[in-house]
Order: sequence, then structure tokens, then C-alpha cells
Amino acid sequence: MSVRVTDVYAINDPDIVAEDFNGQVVILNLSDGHYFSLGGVASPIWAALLDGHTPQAILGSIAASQPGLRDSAAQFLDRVLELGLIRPREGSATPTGPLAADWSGEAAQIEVFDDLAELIFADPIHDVDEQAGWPAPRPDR
Amino acid sequence: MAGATSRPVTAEQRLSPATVSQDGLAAYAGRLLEAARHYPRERLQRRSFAMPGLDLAVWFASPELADLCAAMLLQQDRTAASPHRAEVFALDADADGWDHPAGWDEHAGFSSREFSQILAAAGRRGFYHHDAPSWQFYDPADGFGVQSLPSGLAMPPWEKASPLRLFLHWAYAQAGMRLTHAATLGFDGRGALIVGASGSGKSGTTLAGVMNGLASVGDDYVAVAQGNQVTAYPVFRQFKQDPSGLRRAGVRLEAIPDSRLNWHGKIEFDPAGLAPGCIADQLEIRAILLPHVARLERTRIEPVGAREAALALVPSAVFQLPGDAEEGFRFFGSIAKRLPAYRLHLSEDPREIADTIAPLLSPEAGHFR
Repeated sequence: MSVRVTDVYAINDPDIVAEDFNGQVVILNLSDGHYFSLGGVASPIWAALLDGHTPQAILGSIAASQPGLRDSAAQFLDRVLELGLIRPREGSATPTGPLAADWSGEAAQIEVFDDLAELIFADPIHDVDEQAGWPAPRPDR
Repeated sequence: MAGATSRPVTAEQRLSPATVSQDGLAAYAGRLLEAARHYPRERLQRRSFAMPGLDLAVWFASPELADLCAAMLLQQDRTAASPHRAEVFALDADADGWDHPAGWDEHAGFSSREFSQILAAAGRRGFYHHDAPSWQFYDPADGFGVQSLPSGLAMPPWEKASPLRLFLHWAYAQAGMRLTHAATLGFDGRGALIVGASGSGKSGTTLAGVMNGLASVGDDYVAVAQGNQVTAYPVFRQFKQDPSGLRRAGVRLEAIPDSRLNWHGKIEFDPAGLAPGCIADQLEIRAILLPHVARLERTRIEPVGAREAALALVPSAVFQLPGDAEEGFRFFGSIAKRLPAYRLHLSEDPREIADTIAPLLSPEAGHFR
């Protein structure tokens, strides 16, 4: 699944919530228990995307500043769409600020955590081991 | 507070379907809440619990459940009323005129998120336990809740050490506080939240601390408020630890009045019986600690950033308790931003662990970011 480079995207609320921790973004999917940590230039890309900049503008800016980071940036944008963290925004949007001129940093990364997802996905009728306690899933599942 | 009048429960009010699915969930919640509001109070036993920041009144059908809650909830020694109140009816099918809880329709599938969303859309909170089966519903608009069990103590075994946990969670959320899945240690009124995945050493670190001169307000769930400062309060009386962990902390099992293993192979005990005075009334939280069982010769302290603290604190706090998830995310995210955080690579020496933690709680060490 790839982003449309000329589209504008929004966070896929209400199930997706995100917070910036000193320039490092943590995202929760409240519907399935997955959570995510953004590394490298992924956090500023995320911020620019949600501010209304198109993938085309973001990737162009990165290519001009740090060409070596462009591919990871493009993969990151596709990945957040694939994970359901963003959705195309209806109507137009005007960014509140210009794109960063300097994209120095590590390649964009997204770390996916699923250790708590089992708590959400477990079918309590069949999957929960009473000895371990709800909502711990049975170890054989 | 609702439910000021008592009148007999009508047949319509007692009507429980054999099963409930997504389609009938909101209506069933409304029906149970309404039936509880009108349940004859003279058949019930009322207990008041002066919890931190919350006056909780519970009407019990089961004397055994009333005694369990009185034993497990740690009340404040105060006479002044709290501005926040909640009222819960704890009913069961043995109570005259109260129906057996409906079961969940197995053919309908079950999603915790969908369950919470349906109830939230109706202005309610709730939880369903499949094995009993049993229900808990709460109306935050007036702080009124109902628990419907098959019989007096027919609840999941893990709920018995922290009864009424979900009602406290929902009531605290409404009061701007949060019930938090974290352990705590403190010294001289200042403290730390101890967070991390299961098995990371939260309870062991807490026990090492209280057995060596530190205080605590809980090793599993605590109530947290934040304004100018972050403050943690005790809610449940007991700690849990497995026998080997107790021995590592220097506890003789014979010193524990009831050392039977619980459903999870752990002994539940009142820490004040082992270390008198160890439970503080409250702790001003100055740091977040992320323990790591490393079995080092000496405990090593590693400062970590807000993201690491958030990853250890926030998802667990949000996903462990149903309802009010986004508000919880913002609440705990704010705490992770405010407080310094340290990863503790632990030794196996409980005294050395306590001696390492204490300086982190000194007035000079703890500060907001």
C-alpha cells in the first residue's frame, strides 16, 4: 500500500492517538493494542505530514537536503498508511508552517510493539486461561 | 447521586436476556443500571469507603463481598467529605429479585474496543467477564455503577485482591485522577512510579525497598493526580510476591499470617505487617523508574528519555483498564514528559537496591523536566 504523493493526510482518529515526547513520537492504536515508536527523521516527517504537507512536498524537501534519507522516508510514509495510522484528509489543508530546511538525522524508522495487542485481540470466550488471569492469553495461542 | 428512592423491582426491570451481543449491549447496560437504582436498599448492606480524592459508597448483596472489599481497600483517615463521589450496587443472582447475569452471544464475536465504544456512545463504561459471566457498568454522568455477579464472590480470582478496581478507575477518570498500573517507592514524602512489563521486577524492587526503609503506596495499582505536582495515593492494601521473591527480600514466610499461594502462584500479604509504617498516605512523585532484572553486582542507574518512559508507562496504563483510553493516553503522556526517568539495572541485593534508589528521591535529585 502506497501513499498518494499529492494527497494530504490526517491521523486516523479516533482509534489512533499520538504524542510527541521531546521530538520523538509515540503512537497508540486503541483498537488493537499495537503501539509504535518513531525513530530517526520519522518524527519530523510525521509532524509535517499531519500539518498538511503532502508526501510529495516532504520527500522533495528531504531529497534536496539529505538525498540518502529519501528512500527510508518514502518507505516510512507507505508503512504508516499500511498500518492504518493515517488516512487521506477530506478537503484541502493549509500547513501552519513551512517544511524544515534541514533533515539531518538517521533514516526514518518505525518500531512496532505488539506485546499488549494480545490483551485486545484475545477472544475471552475461548482464549483466556483462567489460571493466568484475564486478560492474559493462553500460552498455546 | 442517583437512586435516592427505593421501590420494588418490576418484572420489566428484571428482564435479562439469555445472551447479549453488540446490538443489545447499550440497552442491557441501561436496564441493569436502572434496575440497580430502584433495587430495595433495605435488602443490602451499605459500606462507605473514604478513598483518596473519592467517597465511594457501595451497597452489597453479599456480606462476604462487603467484608472482602473492606479488607482490601485502603481507606484514608479523614472525616471531611471528598468533592468526588461514586455509588455502586454490587448485586448477584442470589439476591432476591436480581436476575442471573446474561451471557455474551458467542456467535457475535467480541472486541474489547468495540464493547467500550458502544458503551461510550451511550455515555457509559463497562466490562464483561466471560467465565463467570458477570458485568460491571458505570454511568460517569452521576457516578453510579452496578456489578452483576452469578453469586456473591463469583468473580475472577485476580479481582479479589483489587475488588471494585474498574469502578475506581472510572470514578477517578471522571475526577481528573487515574488509577494507574504501577508500583511505587518513596522516602520522606517523595517517591517514584515503578513501571515496566510483567517480569521486569516492579514488585521485587518495591518489596526490596519497603524491607529496607523506603515507603510505598502500592505495588500494582495506585491512584495518581497531577496538578502543580504529580501525587500518588494508596488504594489497595496488599502486595503480591512469589515465595522466592519474598525470601530474596529477606522475608520469612512464617512471618506472613496467610502464606497460601493465590491463583498466580503468589502470596498476597499486607506489607505493613512486615515493615510497619511502610505505607505512606501519599507520595509526591519525582521520577519514573524502569527496573530491569540484570543480576548485577551493583545496581546501575541509566537516565532515559521521555520516549522510553512513555513506552514503559503509557501503553500498559491505557490498555490494562477499559474505557477512557484517549484521556488516559494524554494523562500518562503528560507524566512521562514531566518527570525524569531512569532505567535501573538491578543487583540481587535488596538493601543495595534500596540504597541506590533513595538518593534518586532526594530534594536535589528529583525535578520536573
